[in-house]
Order: sequence, then structure tokens, then C-alpha cells
Amino acid sequence: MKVEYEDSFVKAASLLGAEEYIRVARALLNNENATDEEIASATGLKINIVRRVLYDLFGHSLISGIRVRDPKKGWFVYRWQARRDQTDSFIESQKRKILEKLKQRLEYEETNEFYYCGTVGCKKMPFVEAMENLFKCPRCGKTLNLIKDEEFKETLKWKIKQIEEELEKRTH
Amino acid sequence: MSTQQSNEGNLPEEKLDEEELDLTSRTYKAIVEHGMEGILQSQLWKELNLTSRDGSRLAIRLEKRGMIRRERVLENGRWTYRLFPIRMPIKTASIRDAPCLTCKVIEQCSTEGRISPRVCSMLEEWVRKEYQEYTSHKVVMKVETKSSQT
Repeated sequence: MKVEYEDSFVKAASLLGAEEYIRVARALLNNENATDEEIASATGLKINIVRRVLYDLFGHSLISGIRVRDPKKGWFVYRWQARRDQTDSFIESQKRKILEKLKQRLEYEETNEFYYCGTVGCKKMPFVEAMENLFKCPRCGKTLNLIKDEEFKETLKWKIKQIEEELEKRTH
Repeated sequence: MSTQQSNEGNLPEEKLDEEELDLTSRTYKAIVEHGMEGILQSQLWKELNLTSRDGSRLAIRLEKRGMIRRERVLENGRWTYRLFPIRMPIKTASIRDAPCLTCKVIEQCSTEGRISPRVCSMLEEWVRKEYQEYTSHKVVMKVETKSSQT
């Protein structure tokens, strides 16, 4: 499902999960103060999936709920509402968080030498760790050789720049 | 059995709803693409091949969501609406599918900890995959431009 030109609320929800998140978010925009059952019937999703998505969105402060008594059944139900004022700041804070992680990774990649056995599934390791393992891979036993992964550093720089540019130019 | 029946019964309705939702975002996209000077709704319906009834419904929906503004204008002696975007959609492409967004141990993630961005294989995989997609997309774009020139 493409969400490029959707409301920021739908876009924020789509970052947290797959299609069910997009459907629930759209349903919340179309029906303000909807209950989980109303959302389930509007989206065609199972009630447990709708509840899981709602709790996740609530956990990220993207929706708020009010507890009201169901006039027909008599029990308490929650009516959910999209917190559209929160969506842009949520997306921006996620961008900043990921940007920070990528910068930390780049710094680590740039200040260390890495050794790798060449086996798929095994990890490359920094010099100290390779020395502790006597330059033998603890997983497959092959010799660890010095590798220069310049491409990965460039990849990290590209992603960092992409996020920074998006933070600068926020909208389409 | 009953669940299956009810699901089958829901399918056409669900599909119709999805189509309508897709139209909503297509309408919004078209309005956004026309920038802050807006677009006459009749022109937009032509572009999107919509009836004025369906188009108006979509425009009202977008207005209700606070995404666009409808302004009544006199055009060639007839009253119509010009549609303007209010909220430009925020970009999310740079962090789409980032593992940190759904990471269950993000709270424990730190530079010095056992869970760290320094050694996170999911982070590495994601960045590599994104770059691969970006470069392959660039190659396709170049090929398309070359073929259109020849």
C-alpha cells in the first residue's frame, strides 16, 4: 500500500507496521471516536488485530482513548481518536533517533579495523575481539582477515545525508 | 463456517472501500502537486477522471480531515471551488522500514551496551538494502532517460 500522499497520521502509523496499521489509521480518520469493534467492521480486520494495532498506536501516543459505558451492553468500552497534532513530531523524533544511531555506527566503523572470516552468517569483528579469538572465527573456525568495508561507510553516509535532508525539508 | 461466510460477504465492500481510499490519496496528491496556488475542482476531476459527484465527496472528505481548503470562486460566470493544500504531507521515505521503529529492545540500545547500533546487524542490513534499491533505481532511471533520448 502506497502512503506517500496520505495524511501524516496514516504515514506515522505505517512506519510502525504493515497494512493493518494503515487500515486502522485510515478508519480512525474516517470515524472519530470509534470503538475497536467499529474499526474492525470498517476495516474487515479481526478484532484481536485491531486491538493490537490500537494498543501499539496508543503506546506511541499517536491515539488517545476515552472510556465510556456502552449504552446497549452496559460494559465499558474505549473510544479512540487520532492525535493528529502529535504525528509530525513523532515522525521527526523517530528520524532524529535513527540518525543518531547511524552516526554512532559510522563513528565506530571509521575508528576501528575489522576482521572477517568470509563465511556468510558470521560477523566481522574489531581488532581487539579478533585478537582475543587469536584471529580465528569463533563460529566457523576459519582465519580472520583484515577487511576494508569502504562501501558500507559510504552507504551509512548516504543514509545519514538522506535523513538530514528530510529533516531540513520536512514536507513534499 | 459463519466467519468464512461473513468474510466472503465483506470482500466486495472492503475492496470498494480500498479503491475509494486510494482515490482520496490520489486526489490529495494531485492537489499537493499543484502547490499553494491551488487547482479548480473541475480541472482536477478531469485529471483524475472522476464524476463531479465523486470528486466533491472526496474534496469534502479531505477538507473535513483538515488536509485541504475549498475556496468558492467565480470562474467563467459559474461558481465553483478552488482547492488548496493546507497540510503538506511530511516525508517519511528516509526511515521507512528502519528496524529501530519496531525494535523490541530499543530501550536497551546504547553505544556501550550489548545491544548497540555499533554491532546491530538489522541496522546494517537495512542501510545496505536501502542503498542497493537506491542505486538500482538510479540505473533504471538512467536507462529510461537514454532510451527516451534515442
